[in-house]
Amino acid sequence: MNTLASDPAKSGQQESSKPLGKGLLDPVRRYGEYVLGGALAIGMLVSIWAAFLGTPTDAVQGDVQRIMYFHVPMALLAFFAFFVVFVASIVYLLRRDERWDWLARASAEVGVVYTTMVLICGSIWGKAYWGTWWDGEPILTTTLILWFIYVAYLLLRFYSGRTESGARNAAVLGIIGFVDVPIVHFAVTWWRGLHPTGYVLNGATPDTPASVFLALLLAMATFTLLYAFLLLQLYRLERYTTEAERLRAQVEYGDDSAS
Amino acid sequence: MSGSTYLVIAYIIMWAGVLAYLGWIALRMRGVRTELESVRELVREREQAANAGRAGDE
Repeated sequence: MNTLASDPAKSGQQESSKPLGKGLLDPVRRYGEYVLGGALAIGMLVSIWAAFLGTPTDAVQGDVQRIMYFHVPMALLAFFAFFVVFVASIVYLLRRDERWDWLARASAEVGVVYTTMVLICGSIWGKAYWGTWWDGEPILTTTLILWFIYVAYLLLRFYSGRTESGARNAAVLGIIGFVDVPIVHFAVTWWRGLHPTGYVLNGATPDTPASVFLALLLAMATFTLLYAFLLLQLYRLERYTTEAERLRAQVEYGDDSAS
Repeated sequence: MSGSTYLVIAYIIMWAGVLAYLGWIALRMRGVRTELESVRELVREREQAANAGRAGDE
């Protein structure tokens, strides 16, 4: 079978089994995850506090505007997650090192989760402010297309198994799919719609209180930590799954290359 | 429904979703670790059996 596991030289198995920076990075490996998890828990609490109590109520939108404090950071980090898929896919196609494939797969999953949250929360905000759950305006439509592209990416990964051809096809989709990210970002300026344009991030409103920027920055930091934490877990999951499949192949078929 | 109600619904969905996803990842991680341990054990058993067979031949 043409699996990543069946060709360790090509798939980078030998490289992936090598510990990188052993000794020097040991404390980071051992305690880094706990520090990250602790910082994330604190960040979540502080961000919720800042969004609910640390910022003034919007004069036009009212309380529902506070959805922005996680809607905007999640959207930006979803773009970043797909950018990581884009870069990791290019490097995978150039080097055929499976660790880049694991990274692309992990980042795509986090990106899809973030985009799902963005669509759900944006829809709730739309119902409260526009009076409709969904409007076929450009940024909503292009974001939905983005979601479909990366759901298709994950389905491709799932149904093609851990084969080299599956990884290659997914890498191509990960590169082509990224084309939609700038389209989503510029949709509000290219095709004017109902969606707010550059509400805070572009500095379009000089009267915006500093606490609003601070709350956004806090939420941005929290969701970045969450992205890093999820990426770490999913990358490790990919590594363990690949190792388990190799050992299983070794046991069932006596495949020496799996060891 | 008022704006505050929509806000609370959005926050509950978002954070419950994040926590559920973290829980799902933990379950997947536990499953794959269990699988990895059992397969490692199988490999060890096979190696021990092979070594015992070689020792018997000698």
